[in-house]
Amino acid sequence: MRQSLLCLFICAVIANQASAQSVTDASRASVNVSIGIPVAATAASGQFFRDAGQLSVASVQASGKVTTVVLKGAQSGAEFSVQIASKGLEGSALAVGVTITAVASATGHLLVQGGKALMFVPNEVGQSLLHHSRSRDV
Amino acid sequence: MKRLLFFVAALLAAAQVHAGRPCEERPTTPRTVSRALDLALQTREQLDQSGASLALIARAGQDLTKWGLHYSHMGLVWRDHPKGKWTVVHELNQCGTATSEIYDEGLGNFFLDDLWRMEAVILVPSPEMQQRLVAVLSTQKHVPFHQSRYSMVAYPFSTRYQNSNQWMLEVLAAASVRDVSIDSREQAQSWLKMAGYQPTELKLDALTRLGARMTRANVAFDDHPNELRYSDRIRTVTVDSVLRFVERREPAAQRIEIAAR
Repeated sequence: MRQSLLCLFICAVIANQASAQSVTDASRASVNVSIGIPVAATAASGQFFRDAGQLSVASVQASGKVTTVVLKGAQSGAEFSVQIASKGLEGSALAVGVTITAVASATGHLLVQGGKALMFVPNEVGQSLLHHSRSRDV
Repeated sequence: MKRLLFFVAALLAAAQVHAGRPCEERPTTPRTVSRALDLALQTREQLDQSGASLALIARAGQDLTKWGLHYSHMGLVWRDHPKGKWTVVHELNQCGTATSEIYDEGLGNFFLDDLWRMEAVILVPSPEMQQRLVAVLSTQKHVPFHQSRYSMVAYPFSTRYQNSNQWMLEVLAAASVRDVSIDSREQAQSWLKMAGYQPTELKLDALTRLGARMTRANVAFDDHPNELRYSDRIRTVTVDSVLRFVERREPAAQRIEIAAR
């Protein structure tokens, strides 16, 4: 019987200026994280999303376990990149040119395409609610 | 055959009493993600308002109403956890296998699951009990109470397997004693018996048990006493039984129920 819980991966993620070590740590942290949606993290995303209007994917660049996705705001013309665990994007509709809607909440922005949740970009509040590690790893 | 399938299906519903964690992907709706994170935020606000430094926390992951149960999985949530404010410490089954691990997770992770209801309960024990539990967690003394062999319906007074709620209950036992020290699962279970902990009893007949054992790695019954097992009485640690136990011992414990807005 198929069970119902969601698979996971994710999450890493770090601001655009994240160090390589942070990315490695974040990728490692993706194992066993039970979140049904890829989670990115980035600093100051609120302003970008407020000004962006409709979003489109400008580029998707995979590098090992981490993929960098560049989003472009139709209204502002600004670009913004997020990093995410590559495994979290397997089977995802995320591709260059895809149009995305960002749904704002108190915890961040949910990127939605065709009624499906593609990725969550948490704000500071959201980031503080999302972490996962083995308890014996202090 | 149909009868067998029916019983297996019934068991599987029962067996969801505890958090399993199969690594199977399922489409996630935007509404599910939003509501789960909203519930996490609401819960954090309630925890802040409670003035607690530590509380018991549970979620309603599966529909267990046919067993008279509401919540499915619980852990401890500690305000000043070194890994982040209001971090949940709990046992999770590994992808439906026969093993588990103890994790420290944010409240968002705790609720970002395929929940039956977007509801949570927190139980704030006495300040003294909070301090004792914080002392256990901060010194990593909760780790030795973990048994990685996992069974969703583990017998509460056997150390062969463990389910997630049982781990938390045994840690609670370790923190409850004053003049002696509880350092092992055996000791914790002896104390729980002495303290009058009453597990939930599920009625599961032989066919149901057989079906579950054959199809699920994370269900076992060979830790249950024969006289109970062969009379279809499967006793296990559930959230509801733990809440009852704690509230009986600590009538002043504050129960806060939260539903996603």
